Amino acid sequence: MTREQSEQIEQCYLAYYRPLLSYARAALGREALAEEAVQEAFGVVCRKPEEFLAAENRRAWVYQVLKYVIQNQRRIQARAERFFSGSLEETDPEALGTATDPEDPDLLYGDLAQTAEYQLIRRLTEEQLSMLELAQELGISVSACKKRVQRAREFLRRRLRL
Amino acid sequence: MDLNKMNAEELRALLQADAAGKDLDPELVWAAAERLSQLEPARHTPQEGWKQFRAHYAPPQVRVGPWVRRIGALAAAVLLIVGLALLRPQQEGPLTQALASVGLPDQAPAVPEGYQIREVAVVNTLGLLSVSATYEKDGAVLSILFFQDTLGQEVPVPAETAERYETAAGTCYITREEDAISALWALPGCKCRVSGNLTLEQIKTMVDALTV
Repeated sequence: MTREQSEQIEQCYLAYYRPLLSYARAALGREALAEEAVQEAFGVVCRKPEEFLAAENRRAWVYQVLKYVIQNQRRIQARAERFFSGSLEETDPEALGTATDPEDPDLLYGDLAQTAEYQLIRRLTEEQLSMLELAQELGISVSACKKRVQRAREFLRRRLRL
Repeated sequence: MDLNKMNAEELRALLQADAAGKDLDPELVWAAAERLSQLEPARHTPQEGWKQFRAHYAPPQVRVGPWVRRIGALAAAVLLIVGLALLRPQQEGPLTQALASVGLPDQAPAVPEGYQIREVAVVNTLGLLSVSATYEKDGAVLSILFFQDTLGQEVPVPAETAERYETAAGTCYITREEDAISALWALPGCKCRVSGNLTLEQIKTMVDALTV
């Protein structure tokens, strides 16, 4: 991306930030998540500067990207909620099954709630932290945090055989 | 629809409907978002948002000048050449040593896959030093004769039993017929014929002893 392109994108960012943020906040609820969605949308802009700057209506372009970002975030959120519905930590051991069950969930997944991977995903889904908040909490960069979350998802998927 | 008469709750509901997939008129949605942004202040200014974006979300930018690009291209080319040189099949062992001992370039074909060198021979044919290598695999024998065809002599190897081809190392004959190789070796003027797995020192001693 050239300096000129960067400057033009910055101008657009400053002009569109507030309406985009309001839109994302209405859709996602939390301010931090809304901010993140706007940042993600401009991340897409920066990856495709020629396409964005050549667009007839830049505002419409970035708004459409934001919609996709929000849809994506909601989809991930919904999947994670299904994934973690009924936290393992809160599960009543009595409700986990009897000895006659073919597989004892407590035996299989009882230690999972203690893992760092589970806790990481829980912070994102149940507590709805943004990636930036989580990254700051962990003292790492946003991209490193995304990578860690991705690994945690894969780990849990493997463990839960999903 | 007069957006100015709508309160924050109504505007939010409109935006939520659009985000949920109702796909309302984009101009209307944008106007509603602008109106809502006036009613609900954000915790960061656009400038602060941009600063945060640059710090955490913007893809990393690597600004490279033309000289750095040129040096990079040169370094990549050097690495490629070195890599290719390292990947070249290594021709260690008695065959390479024998080729070097009689002044043949070290560019003979690599040992055929799966074959073991059974025998290497330095041959003096009509005053022409050559190297013969015999490979073996599961009882099958493959003989290759390497020599420097500087005298331009035709070597009478029967065409039906040997395949002739040119390499950077000189003319090569490949045959599975032991007799064809033997016929070559039995040519008049062949003063010396040594075979066996030889070390470099043995080959040097033997070549020194030859009278060409």
